[in-house]
Amino acid sequence: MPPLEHILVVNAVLFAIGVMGVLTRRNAVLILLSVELMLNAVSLNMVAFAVYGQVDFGNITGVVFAFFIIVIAAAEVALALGIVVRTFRNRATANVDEVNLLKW
Amino acid sequence: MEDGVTATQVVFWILAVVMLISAIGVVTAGNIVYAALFFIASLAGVAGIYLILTVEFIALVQLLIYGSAVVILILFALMLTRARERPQALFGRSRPLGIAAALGLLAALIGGIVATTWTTPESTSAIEPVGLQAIGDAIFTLWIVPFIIVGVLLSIALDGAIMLASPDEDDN
Amino acid sequence: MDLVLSEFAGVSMPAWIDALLRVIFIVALMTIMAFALIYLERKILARFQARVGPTRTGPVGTLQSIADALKLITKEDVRPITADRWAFELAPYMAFVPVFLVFVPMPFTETWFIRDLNLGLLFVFGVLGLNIVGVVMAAWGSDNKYALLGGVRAAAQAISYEIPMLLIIVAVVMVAAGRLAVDGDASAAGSINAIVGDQTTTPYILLQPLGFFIFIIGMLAELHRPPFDMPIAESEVVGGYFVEYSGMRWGMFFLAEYTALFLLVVLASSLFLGGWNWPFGADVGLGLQIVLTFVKTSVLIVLVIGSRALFPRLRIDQLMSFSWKVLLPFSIIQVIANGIILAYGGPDWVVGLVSFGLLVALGGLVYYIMSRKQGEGTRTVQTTPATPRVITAPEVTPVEAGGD
Repeated sequence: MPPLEHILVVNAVLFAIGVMGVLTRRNAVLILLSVELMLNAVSLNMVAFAVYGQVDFGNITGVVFAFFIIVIAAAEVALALGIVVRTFRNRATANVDEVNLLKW
Repeated sequence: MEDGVTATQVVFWILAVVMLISAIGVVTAGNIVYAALFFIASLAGVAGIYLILTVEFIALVQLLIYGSAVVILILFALMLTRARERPQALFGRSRPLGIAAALGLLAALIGGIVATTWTTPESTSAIEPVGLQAIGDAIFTLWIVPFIIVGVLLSIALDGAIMLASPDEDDN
Repeated sequence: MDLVLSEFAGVSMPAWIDALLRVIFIVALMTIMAFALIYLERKILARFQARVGPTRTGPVGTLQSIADALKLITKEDVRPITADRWAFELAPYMAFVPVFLVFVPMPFTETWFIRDLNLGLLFVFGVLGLNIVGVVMAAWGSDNKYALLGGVRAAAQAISYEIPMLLIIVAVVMVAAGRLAVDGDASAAGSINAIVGDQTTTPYILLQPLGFFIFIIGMLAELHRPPFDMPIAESEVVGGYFVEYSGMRWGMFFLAEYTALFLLVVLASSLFLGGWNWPFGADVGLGLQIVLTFVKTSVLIVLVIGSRALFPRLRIDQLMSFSWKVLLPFSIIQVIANGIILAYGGPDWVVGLVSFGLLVALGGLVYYIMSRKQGEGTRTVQTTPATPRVITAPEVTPVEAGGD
C-alpha cells in the first residue's frame, strides 16, 4: 500500500480540481459534477484514514463515513438535478449566473 | 516508505494519474457531455483506489451508485437541458480568479499534509484488509441511528425530486 | 487456486500466462455462446411462428451465426457525419467490457470459475450497471432522435428494474446467510459459489419463489426482451440506441446483449435452481456438474427466448409503474419478512411459505389491475391537448425548423 501522505496529496489535488470547477464553471450540472469530485476526494480521505488508523485507533468509522457520503451524494444529485430541470423549464437556461432574479 | 516501491504503489500511481487527468477533463472540457464522460473515468479511478485500500465493498457501492445511477441522472439532466442544441460559453468571467483560488487552496492543503506528523503503522504491510463483516458491524451497531436517518433522508429526497421535476398541474 | 485451464494442462504456469489464458477462455466462451444463442433464438422463434428458421447454411442451418458474423466483419463501418466522434466510437466498448468482466465470479461447476469473489453478487450488479453508460453514449453520440429516445428508455428501464432485482438478491443472501450460519460461516453468503454450495437438497426457488419471479422479470427488462423491449422496438424507435451502428460495432452491442443474457441466466440458475449442486450434490464430479448447469441454463434460455414470441409489448408508463408500484413494494416486503422470520429463527418452510404467499398476492394484484375496465385510473397519459407553452424568459431564441 502507498504511504498515507501520498494518498492525501492525491486527494488534495482532486479536491482542488473540484473547487476549480465550482468556481469557474457556469453550467449548474457541471458545478454539480465538480461538487461530486470534491465529495469523492473527501470520502477517499476518510477511507484512507480509517484503513491506516484502524490498528492505532481500533475502529473503521471512516469507511462508514464514505458509505454515508455516497448515499447522501445520490440524494443530493437527485434533488439538485430536479432543481436544474425545473429552473431550465422556467428560465430556459442552466447557467447559474443567468438565474439572478429572486422572484420571477 | 521503508517498504520500497511495490507493485501496489505503481498501480496506485497509475490510477491516481488517470483519476486526476479525467478530473481535470471534467472541469475543463469544452463539451458538457464529455465532462460527464470524464467524470465516469474519474469515478472509476476512485473505485480503483478504494480497491487498493482494501475496501472492496465501498468500491463496488461506488460503481453501483455513482457509476450507473448518478451518471445516468446527470446525462438525463444534460439532455433535458439541451446541452447540445445551445452551445455557449461554459466558463464564467471569474475564471482566472477561480483557478488562482483553487491553486492557493491546493498549496495550503499540501502544506498542511506535509507539515503534519501522521499517526500511521510502522510498516504499511502491517495493515489488515477491512472486511465486509467489520463494515456491517459498524454500520448496524454503532451507526444504526445515522443509518436510519439516511434512509429517511433518501426517501424524502426521492419525493422532493419527483415533486420538482414533475410538471405543475396548471403548467400545461 | 481455482484454475480453469491449468487443470487440463496439468502443469503450473506463470501468473501472467494463466491470466492471459483465462481471458482467452472467456472471449472464446462468450463468442461461442453468443453464436449458439443467436442460432437457437432463430430456430425457437421460428417454431413458435410455424416456420422452420435457418436451414441453408451448414447442416440444419447451424452455420448461420458464423455467416452472420462474417457478414458483419466485412461490412463497412459507417459513422454518420453529424455523430459525435468519440462518444459514437467508444460506446460499443463501454457497453461490452462490463459484460465481459461479469464472467469473473460465475460458477459453472464447483471449481470452474475465474475467481470466487466474496462480494460476487454485488460485483455482478455493480459492473453490469456500467453497461448502460455505453448505451447512453451510443444514444447521444449518434445524433439521431430515435437513438436518443431508445437510449433514454433503456436507461430509465435498466435503473428501475435494477432496484427490485438488487433488493430480491438481498433477500436471497439473507436466506443463504441464515443457512450458512449453521455451518459457521455466514459471511460467505455474498459469494455466488457459496450460495450454490448450500443448495444440495433445497434449491432456493422453493425458499424464495417470489425472488425467482422478480429476478426473471428484472432479467427480461435488463436484457430488453419482450414484453420489455421498448428501447429497441422497431415499430416505435426503429431499433433504438444502435440505429446508426453498422458492421462490427453493431456486432459488439449484439455480442454484449447475448453474453449478458447467458450470464444472467447462469446467475438465475445458480441462485434459484441450485446451479451445479442440486439435485445430485457436490460429489458427482465435474462432468455431471457441467451437464447440470447446462440443462438448467438451457431451460431458462428457452424461456427467455420464448417470451419474445409469447408476450405483447408493454407501454412505457405501464413498464415504469410495474417496477415502482408493484415489484419494488413486494421486494421490500420480502426483505422485511425474511428479516423477521430469520431473526426469530423460523424454519425454512416458513420462509418458503411466506414467499409463496407473497407471490400469489402479487399474481392476484396483477390480475386485478389488468382486469379493470379502461378508464378507471389505468390511463395515466394525459389525453387533453395541451396548450402551447409560453416561455417568457428573454434569452429564448426559436429553434430553427428542419435542423436535423
